[in-house]
Amino acid sequence: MKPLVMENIIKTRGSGRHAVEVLHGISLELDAGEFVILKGPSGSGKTTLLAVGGGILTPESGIVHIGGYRLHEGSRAADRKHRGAAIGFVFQRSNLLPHLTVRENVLLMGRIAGRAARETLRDADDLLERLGLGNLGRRYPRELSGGEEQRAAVARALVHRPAVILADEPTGNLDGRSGQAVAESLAGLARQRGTAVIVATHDPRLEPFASRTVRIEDGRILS
Amino acid sequence: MLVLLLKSLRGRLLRTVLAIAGIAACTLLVIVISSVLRGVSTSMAGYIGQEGFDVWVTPPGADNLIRGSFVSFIPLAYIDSLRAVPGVVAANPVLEAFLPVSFPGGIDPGLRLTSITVGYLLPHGLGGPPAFSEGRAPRRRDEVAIDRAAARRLAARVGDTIDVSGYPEVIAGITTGTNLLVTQFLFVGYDAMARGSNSGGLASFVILRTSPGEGRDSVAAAVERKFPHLHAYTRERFLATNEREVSSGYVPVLVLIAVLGAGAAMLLVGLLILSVIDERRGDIAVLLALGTGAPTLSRGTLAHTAALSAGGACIGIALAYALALALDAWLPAVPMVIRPAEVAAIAALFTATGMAAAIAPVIRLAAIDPLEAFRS
Repeated sequence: MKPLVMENIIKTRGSGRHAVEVLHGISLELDAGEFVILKGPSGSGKTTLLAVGGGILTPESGIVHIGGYRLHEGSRAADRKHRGAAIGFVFQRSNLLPHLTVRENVLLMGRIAGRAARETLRDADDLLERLGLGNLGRRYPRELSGGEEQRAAVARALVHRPAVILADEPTGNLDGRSGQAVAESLAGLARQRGTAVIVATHDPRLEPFASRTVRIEDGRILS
Repeated sequence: MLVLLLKSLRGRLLRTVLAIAGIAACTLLVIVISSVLRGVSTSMAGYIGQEGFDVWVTPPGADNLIRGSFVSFIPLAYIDSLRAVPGVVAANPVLEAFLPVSFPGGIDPGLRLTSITVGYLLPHGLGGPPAFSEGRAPRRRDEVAIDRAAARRLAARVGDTIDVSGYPEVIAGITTGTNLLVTQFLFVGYDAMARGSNSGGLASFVILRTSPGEGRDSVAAAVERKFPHLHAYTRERFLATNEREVSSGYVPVLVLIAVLGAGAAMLLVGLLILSVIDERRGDIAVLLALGTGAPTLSRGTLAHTAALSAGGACIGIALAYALALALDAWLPAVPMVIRPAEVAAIAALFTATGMAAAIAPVIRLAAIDPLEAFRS
């Protein structure tokens, strides 16, 4: 079963006279453990594709399967429940909730995904340790460096053992060493867990980890 | 979500504390108004509902104590005939008028109060005070019993000589349960009252005591049959007409203030939650993107605003009880009687308005696009 399948996705943004089609019949499949880089100029539709793949946006037409579950066919609540459990997100900024500690941020994702608290606790502590954040779990995001924050975001994306991680410029705001550390963490842990990863990025530091690169331009996949 | 909001509000402690304090103040305001009205009613009931005050006979148009002073009188010549009505054990005249009272030997000789002055037959006639905090009932023509709040305002004590409508009277007792907020009861002998109000030979009301086992309704009906131009009210009906008189003045104001108070509390809570949602818009977008449902966030927001409102209301209730104790000790002119059922209703009102205040924030929340999580 493929972790993510998108078939003939057409997505329009805006409405009425201002409606613009931004994805023109895109199809994309990810295999388990695959690390796919999505490249393309700004405005090419990378983020929109990620949002459709993550179930945040509903396409005008086309089919999205996440871990064998077809989105937009059942109820919204069922879709939300499934995508919460099957998808992990890493954003350009860490987007950790500022009033929660690092550990609480990671544990929160387990709750959203509906995982058992004990398993989530065990995985959260393990991931924080492996990401070099074992002693920073009680700190708040403002007390961390940019690289540490983003590694905590990687822990949050992995803690519920999702089928696929969708990452949007995860190293875009980081300096060389921090970006390298985040890229290695994301790729290494995902591979170990058999999690598929699709990363929208311009960052060449991520290319060595890619099993495949997909180029997108004007809402169409070029290669 | 509730934990998230609470943690979020912890970062806005001052604003949260101010909002809760505002709700508490609004709650306190409504409870004070309500309990003051209740205090007046309780005093009214405490006086009118005394043991033995079974039937109140009134002249035309005087169906309560307030109107009794102005409208018309019953000649004392009727007393014997009223006593002769079957079932009546005693018939005592009461003269009532609003009279000026001052304490020439006191701290403020120029202070003049207007007391609802009741003249009754000394020493044990019907119409006397219900209870004393000090002293005793008047026994002589030159003695009075004065309400505790009025005595406090005049700085007068038992044994002091006060001026009642130009006549010196010695305070024999201090009464309780006789404070109507805007005026207080003063009790004098019938003769002194007749002299002070130029109403000799007249009665504002006649109070009848009925024999044990005799129905008050049947006695009242018999009086009205015998004296078609008079009215006779059982104790309960007379109390009801008095409460209606009081309520007609207070209740519209009470309702207005309650509505304004609840509205102010609603705005405070609404603004607080709205500002939190606006400021945490990015975090909410992230939560939505990660898979938290908007209904979950909305429920959390509602629960949170309800908790804030209920917390403020509880503080307001506690303050109201404390204020009632303080007023009773230091400012008895403002009578507060707090009824738990009314307090519970007010707390429910404020909690409900708090939840209503969450509607605008919830609408705002529902409009947040999870895609904002990608745009930061």
